[in-house]
Amino acid sequence: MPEAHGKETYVSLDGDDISTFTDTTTYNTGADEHDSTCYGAEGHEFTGGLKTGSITIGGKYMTGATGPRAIIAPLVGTKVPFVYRPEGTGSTLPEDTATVLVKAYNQSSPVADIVRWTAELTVSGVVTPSTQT
Amino acid sequence: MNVEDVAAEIGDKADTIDGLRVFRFPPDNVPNAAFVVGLPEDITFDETYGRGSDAMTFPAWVLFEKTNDRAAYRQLARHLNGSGAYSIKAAVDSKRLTNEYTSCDTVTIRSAETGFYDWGGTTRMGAQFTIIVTGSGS
Repeated sequence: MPEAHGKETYVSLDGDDISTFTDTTTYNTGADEHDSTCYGAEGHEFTGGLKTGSITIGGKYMTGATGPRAIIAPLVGTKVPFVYRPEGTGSTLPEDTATVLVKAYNQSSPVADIVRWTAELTVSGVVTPSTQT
Repeated sequence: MNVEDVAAEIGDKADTIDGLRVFRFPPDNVPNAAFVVGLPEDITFDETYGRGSDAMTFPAWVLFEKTNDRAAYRQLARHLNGSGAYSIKAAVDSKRLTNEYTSCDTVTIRSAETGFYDWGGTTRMGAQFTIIVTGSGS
């Protein structure tokens, strides 16, 4: 099976393609665990609970009306659609979609480097994996 | 970014300084008081997804004849200042609204190293600048 290069990754938030100023996506999914151990058991038993998900995205700050400050910062505190295509855009390639709460938008300005941004997203509901058509 | 366009525009910015002969490519020989933009030492592709951003590091040199060491020293020194009419950093560094580039997004002279350079068989007193450039990958 071939590897997939991160440069192909596509991400969009609230319908805006933010790929060209994004260089990192950390995508975490999980589920609550509940201890369902009963008397007499010799080890813990667990039951899966509600699913959880969080996403951290980040990249290079771009100026103007199509940069992260203009597109992402106003979304903080709102729930919007998120699309993640880890292998890029194309028919038959995988795609995950979710509604996310934009929990935080951050900027950093190192003196000797490009201004950077990150955003923290919390999945509201479940992530829907699919294949692009 | 187009490498040739970026090198040319760096040269255009340096050309606003009085008294410099600017070369937007490395020539075989250089006259006195030359500013030379070299080929990129490295190019980093795919700094963001979807060919959004690349980065390049250009070397550039300012070079003076050594026929009069003190004069060469004084000329070189004023071009190494961080500000002022002869400052290469002040002329070349991009700045939002007041010194923007059309061929790339940001241009920053990160460092300068002085020394003696053999160029076309002649030793010049000068300095080598390291210029960091970022811009669109497409």
